[in-house]
Formats: sequence, C-alpha cells, structure tokens
Amino acid sequence: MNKAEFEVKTVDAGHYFEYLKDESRLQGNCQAICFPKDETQAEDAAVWAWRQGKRVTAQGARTGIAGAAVPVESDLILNMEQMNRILSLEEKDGELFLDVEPGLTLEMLERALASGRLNAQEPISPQAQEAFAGAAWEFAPNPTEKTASLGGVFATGAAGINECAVGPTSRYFAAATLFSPARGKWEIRRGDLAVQEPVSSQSRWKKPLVIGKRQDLLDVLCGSEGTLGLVTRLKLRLTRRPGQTWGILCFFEDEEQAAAFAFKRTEKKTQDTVCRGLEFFDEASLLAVEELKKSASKLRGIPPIPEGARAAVYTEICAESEEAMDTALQELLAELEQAGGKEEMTWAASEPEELEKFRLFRHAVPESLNHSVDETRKRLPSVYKIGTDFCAPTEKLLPLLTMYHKDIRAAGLRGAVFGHVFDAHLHVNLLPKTAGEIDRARELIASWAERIMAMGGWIAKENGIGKLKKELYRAYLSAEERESIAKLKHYFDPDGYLNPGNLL
Amino acid sequence: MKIAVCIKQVPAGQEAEIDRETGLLIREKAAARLNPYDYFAIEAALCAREKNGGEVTAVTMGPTGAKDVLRTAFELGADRGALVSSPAFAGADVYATAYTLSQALRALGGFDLIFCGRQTTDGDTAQTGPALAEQLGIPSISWISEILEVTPERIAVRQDLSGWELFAACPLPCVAAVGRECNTPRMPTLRGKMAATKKEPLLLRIEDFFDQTPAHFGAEGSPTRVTRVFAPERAKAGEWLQGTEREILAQATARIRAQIKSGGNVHDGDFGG
Repeated sequence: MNKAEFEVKTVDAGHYFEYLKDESRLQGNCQAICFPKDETQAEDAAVWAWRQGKRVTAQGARTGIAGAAVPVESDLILNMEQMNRILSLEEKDGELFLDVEPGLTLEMLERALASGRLNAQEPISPQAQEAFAGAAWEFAPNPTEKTASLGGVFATGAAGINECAVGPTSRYFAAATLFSPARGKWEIRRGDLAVQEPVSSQSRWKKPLVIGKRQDLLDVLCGSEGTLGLVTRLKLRLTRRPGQTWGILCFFEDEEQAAAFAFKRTEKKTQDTVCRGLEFFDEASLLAVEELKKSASKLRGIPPIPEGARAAVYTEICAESEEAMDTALQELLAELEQAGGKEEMTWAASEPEELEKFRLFRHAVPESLNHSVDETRKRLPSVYKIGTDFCAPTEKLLPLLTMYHKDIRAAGLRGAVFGHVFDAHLHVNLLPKTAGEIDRARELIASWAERIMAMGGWIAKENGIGKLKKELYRAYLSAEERESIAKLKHYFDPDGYLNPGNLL
Repeated sequence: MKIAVCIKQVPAGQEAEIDRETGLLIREKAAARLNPYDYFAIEAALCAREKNGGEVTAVTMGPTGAKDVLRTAFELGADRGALVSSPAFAGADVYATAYTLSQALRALGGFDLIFCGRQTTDGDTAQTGPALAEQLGIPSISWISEILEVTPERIAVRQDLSGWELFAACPLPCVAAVGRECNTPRMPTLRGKMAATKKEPLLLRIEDFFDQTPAHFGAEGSPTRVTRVFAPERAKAGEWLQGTEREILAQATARIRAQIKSGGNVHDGDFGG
C-alpha cells in the first residue's frame, strides 16, 4: 500500500491542535492526523495504521458534547471532514435516498436540498430527478448544530427538537458502509438484523451497543460512536417537507405556569397537525442568551426577551392545510391564556428565515452556557461544564423540574435547565466556578441519575456517551448487557483498535 | 401621528436573472422577500407610533406578488398597507420610483413622518428615500444609526457618516432612512401574525394619482438607461516575500513606504500572502 495517497500530518502546538478537542471541551492527545479525501483513502489509512498497531479515533465535525471525537489513547486521528460530497440520489417506490460521504454537514445538506441542486458525483436517473423536483424534501432529524457532520449524527444518533414527531434518528439512515481493518467492509442495509443473541433486559430507551430482540443492525451501528468500524458512506432516507410550519415562542412571567402549559401540550392529540417540537427554557437559560447577545453578532437579529419573562416554551406545529393550522393556533392561544400566559409575550414565525431565528435562539442556550464556562476557565482552566442528557416518562416533567431547581439551589451552584418536554428530556447544565463546586456538581449528577433510573428513565438520550459519560453508562448496564457489548465489540473490532475510550 | 413606511420586495437569494435587453431584473422568476433594511424601517415606524399614537401605513410598489411584503408589515403591527401596482410603473429607476411613491403617499392623504430602509439589497443605491423627500418637497435625513426622539414636531437622530457621527434634528414632515444599527426588529406576536393573514392591502393604480400621465412613470419616466450589467474585473497581482519573519516584515514595510512616497494606494492583496 502506498501511504503517499493519503497524507499523515503531525499534530503539535502550532498545527492541528484544535483537532485534539471537541465541543465537550475535553482535551485529548495524539501525534498524527489524516484527512482522507474519499472512501479508498479512508480505508487505506485505516489499514496502514492497523498494520502498524496504531489505534485510531475517527472524527467528524467535532461538534459532539460527550467527547466521542476526542482522541484518547489513540495514535492517529482520521478526520472525515474532507469527505463531504453528495454521491448519488436514488428513487424507490416514491421514496428518495441520498448517498453521502460522512463529512457532509447538515448545513451543506440543507443548502443542497433547498437549492434543488445536489451536484451528485454519480448520474441521477430521470425518475429520481423528477421525484426530487416534484416536492420539497428534507432529512427529518434536526439537531440544532448545523455544522455537525452526517457521520457524527450517525455515530451518536443525535436527534433534534423534532424527535417527538419524527422518531429516532436511525430511522432516517437506510444503509451504511462500515469498514474495519481487521474484518473488512460491510454494506449494511435496513432490514439486516443483528444476529447476535439479544439481551433479555429490555429498556424503553435505546442503550448504545445493546442488542434487542429482532433489532436492525443499522440501529445498533447508529449510536455506536465509531467503536465498531469506520463509516465511509451513508444512505439517507429523505422525506417530504410538511406543507406549513409555524414556530411559537411563548414567554411566561412564572416558571410553574410555563411548565404546566408545556406539559398540557404533550397531551394534545390532533389528526390534522403534528407537534414537531416542544421545548422548555428556564430563567437562567434566557438570561444566558441575553448575555451572549452582547458579544455574538449572529444573535443580533433576535429581539430582547420580553420584560418580566422568567421562562419560555417553544413549540413547532406542522399542518398540510391553512384551516388545520388556523384551528391549531387558535387552540394554542386559548391554552396559553388559560395557563396564565400573555399573548403579547409570544413570538411567532412561519417563514424559513424567521424560523431560523428560533433555531438560533435554541442553539444559543447551550452555546451561551459554554461561553460562560469559557470565561471561568480563563481564571481556572480545570473547570468544565457538567451537563445532563437524562430522560424519563413525560409525566415526570414537573417533579423533575422542581427537583433540579431545588437541588441546584441547595448545592449553591449555578445552572440552567432547558430542553425537550417530551420524555422529560431536560438538559441541566451546571456551571461550577471552583474545584469544590465541580465535586458538588458531580455528586448531584450521580444522585439525579439514581433517581432518574428509579423512575424508569435513562441517563443519556441524545448526546452520546463518548468519554465523559461512560462511567455513568456502565454503572447502569446489567452484567448480561455488558457481556453482549463485549461480544459485539470483539466481533467487529477484535483488537480494540477503533475509537478507544468511547462507551467502553 | 400619520406614519408611512416605504418597503420593497427584493430577490431572496444571491442569484437573480437579468433581462439582457433592458438590463432590468426579472422579478417574476426570483424567489422574493422583504428588503432586509426595511425591517428596521418598520420597527422605527412602530416605535414612533407607540410613542406618539396614530397609525402606520406600509406602502410598497411592485407587481401583485409584492403584496407578500405588506403581509410581513401587517404581522409586525402595521395598521394599513397599500400596494402601488400598475403595468405603467414597470421598469422604474430611482427617479421614477420616488416620483411614483410620492404620488401614492399624496393619494393616501399625506404623512407626518415617512420611514425607509437605508437602501435595498437589489438596487443598492440608497437614493430612493432622499429622492422621495425631494419629490414631496420635504426634508430628508439619511444614514440614521440611532433615533433619539420622535415628537409630533421633529425627529432627532444620530447619523453615521463614514467615520463621523452627526447628531441632527429635522422638523416634520420628513423622510427618514434608517440603517441596521438603528434598532432590533421585533418578532410578530402569535395573534398579530394570525390576524395579518386576514388583512387586505389597498391597491393604488395610476388612476388613483393626481398625476395620471403614463409618460411620467415606469421605464418611460426613468432617465436612467442601463447599457450593460457586468461584474467588474479585479486585477490581483500578488508577490510572495520570502525570508525570516523579521526580513519579510522589513521588505513589506519598505514597499509600503515606497508606495506612500509615490502617492499610490496600498490595497489588501498587494503583497499576495
């Protein structure tokens, strides 16, 4: 094999140093990095490293917040950002499937779908072309970080605010090409079952690498954080964009009123409309965004939050007809006022560029909290943000919210609570300022995890396990689940050579 | 207070088709949106109304599809809207546009304060506001970066004049052209946005004007002739300087000094990398 076809570069303080970390702010260590430009280069680089006994960390856009892309105990980073082409479009029974390289980002994909120009590498059949031109298409999963790569989305199973309507992210991957230097290349398609003996302890929540009964192998791979193989090609299942989408951000003067309103919305069942997102923001989250606005010019278009706002609920509603939308909006308005909300404290949007402001706002919440941690780190570099990705049955929303705020106050910590209302999937971000506060925050997380598990929840729903949450992950796996994971890992990557430190 | 805000529909993206014969934009084919600067003008108009009472009328000139931007103005809180549309208005340059708008504003009964966005993203002239004031025979105040006060008698502003700030006040009626720095446009409320779908703008045609001479409007009434549309070529001559950091710095400094001595300009890129 000729190494010159792919270039391995040295990582040092002046070059590629930023590739040693991701959005988790975890700092890794590695001597070499390679940016393959296509599938062949990626495979060749992986085999070259394997033959020399070098362990590899595969990276996408490094937007993950659990540290899965951070090289730890690795000798080579395989960064896929230059493999970002759209390869082909295929039509089958009225559905469209788009083959892409894993480095393609969500924003690149959205731009291509919106413009109608895919610039695919392979010729597109007239049937596929006609179907593509005949409707507006989308990749339904909607993580707010649009610079995330599709490979990263697949690796972590990252979802977005619309998961409540569109379901798990893995559903939208129809095939994946997986490469393991020790085992070779697989073309895995939807419908290929994971044949390993399923574990008996079934959970309502997806646990990475744990195989359930008659589970699709693609669903096992999605969320496996690169531990089973290098993903070099993905087939996305596109869906038709809904006819109309409205986003409504409702501010409340009282947090309990906001939470009660949000919970009531989860019980809403209609045939003509779909709730494509329901999010909650506490006062600390709103204030953090206001603070970030002072320095982030991209947030300049977001108006100041209404005076007196102490919490907010964002919901996105989709409908095919104007009548259905009108009815749904009237009902929402009535519910809002019943809950004690004020119509004049709402923001509404229906055009893509207006909805983009809401996406920016939603994304600005964790970003502003990260910014706050970065400020603290200037004084105390060992400080980091401690966040949760806990979920539980939706009816636990109100007790959980009360518990989080009460415990944060009692521990004397600063923190913000925001996130998905369905599955009570609130993200608590704790912002310690001292070493003592870090300890107290970790204790809180452990105590909450115990209580979450006791109420039938799970400790990591959408952000991945990576390196930051693996202790917690392993603590809540049964012996049978651990054994099953070990067998799976051994089958795909017997030498433990791929993405060491993730999950296991 | 009677407040008008003049707004415009512009192409939504970077790409728009141009008629090779006339040099004019083919608006019917392009995806369209409200001119981004006009959001700031609408916000300024709504704030002036909140302070002084009265009503805000949004006025736009364009084909029938342009009424979409009036809906945006309704959503944000405009009380009335007028679409100025007639085949006779097609192909208007800045002069004819300003004249048409002045006729429309007169037909609507006149206004105390007229807001415009600083410029549009398609024409980019930043002249329509001042030209409109001229046609109406009232003062104009442009490049507004902050509105300090609006009273029934005057508007006081801070103007950003390329490195200089000017604090100025202008008696009403007048035309005020506002920039992006002026405010942060609001988001529509849910009820405001829903109600906007049911509001209909007034349609103004040439027959509604005091001046009904077709030759005064549209392409015929426009002194500007577009002879050619092209992207200017940019000559980029670069030179790589080599050596240690200190040596490169010394070479660069010597060249800059020489340029200044010879009275030449120093541009970005003159020194390649």
